[in-house]
Amino acid sequence: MKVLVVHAHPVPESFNGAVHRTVVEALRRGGHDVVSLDLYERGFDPVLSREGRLGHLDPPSTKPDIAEDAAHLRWADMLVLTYPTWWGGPPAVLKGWLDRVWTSGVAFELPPGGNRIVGRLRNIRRLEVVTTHGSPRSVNVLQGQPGRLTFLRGMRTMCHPLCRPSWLAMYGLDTAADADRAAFLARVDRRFSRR
Amino acid sequence: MVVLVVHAHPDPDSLGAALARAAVEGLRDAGRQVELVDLYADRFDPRMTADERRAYESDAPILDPTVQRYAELLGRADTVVFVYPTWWFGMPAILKGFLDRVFVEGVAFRLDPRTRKVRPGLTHVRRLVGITTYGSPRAYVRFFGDPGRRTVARTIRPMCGVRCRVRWFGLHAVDTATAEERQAFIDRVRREVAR
Repeated sequence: MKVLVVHAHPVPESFNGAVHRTVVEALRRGGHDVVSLDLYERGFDPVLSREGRLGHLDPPSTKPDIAEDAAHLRWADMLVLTYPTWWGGPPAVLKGWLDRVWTSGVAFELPPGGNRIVGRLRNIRRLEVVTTHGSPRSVNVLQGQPGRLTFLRGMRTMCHPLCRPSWLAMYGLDTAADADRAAFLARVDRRFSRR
Repeated sequence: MVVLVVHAHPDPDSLGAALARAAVEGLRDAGRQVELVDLYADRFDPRMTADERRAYESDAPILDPTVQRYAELLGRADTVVFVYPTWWFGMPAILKGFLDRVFVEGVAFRLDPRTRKVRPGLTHVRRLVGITTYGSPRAYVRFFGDPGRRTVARTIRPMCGVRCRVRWFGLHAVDTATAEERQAFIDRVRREVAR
């Protein structure tokens, strides 16, 4: 499969950095064609500008600054996101990757006069989120899991109608022992070795 | 105590900017002292840096003067008002990064030294207000679970005082709203924001 992995953590030696490397290595071992975008490493600017906002329904040809990322998004059969959950959702750099790259003509179409967008990423048949939470699962459930809803319910509707979303999450990282961390990395490795 | 209004729209001529102005006016008319943070005007960088992430669990997690200024304003607020357009189900990246970088330990929460559990740090905040516009009609916003609203009402609210109330103003299907509907929404925000 053609796999796009998008990673969002500022510290390469972090646990999330290890998660990201584990995903990419497991997929490559499995013979997949992997493109990995490390948003921090690339210095990705997540702020949609005034010009970007005013032209947000203009065709992709008017947006050379996001052409490369948009092409990767249109190319992939599988999209994998690796990030830490901060305040319920993805870090700003990843939220801004959605704001700036998932544009009209790339990720969706807005029919003239309508107010319901139609997904255009029919190429994406699998959407996989791998994320960590500092607090326990029960706390995150109480807090409404906005990040989980954003991807599993929201962004997936832009993908293939039969796209299967999946959620692989570690909870309680703040109190996790080294063994818990290693066990999660092993789980990540197993999951993506089988993909 | 002050009201902190956090505004996140790139276009000063937008409905979002008009809503921020209406909120400030409505609050001042009610006799409140208002501090306005315009994240785009401040050219706020919403990306938590690697150094900030490394300092996150230290006694001094704030490394940037702008973040320090925002944290001081937040510390003086009994009401926090978020004004933003809903993009991809939630806050624009620039506002998500305001949470990521400013709502750190010692400001928004503290970690219990023994159990490492998160304890509220914004107990002086008695009221959270969200003012947002949605491209989608109300039924879709409801179906997708409104992750942006959840972020404020369920993820941030537990960091505030136990009796903290949440007030929400949303204009749905904004792309097809008439000029009268937009104006009516602006007027409602001005009239009711301080209630």
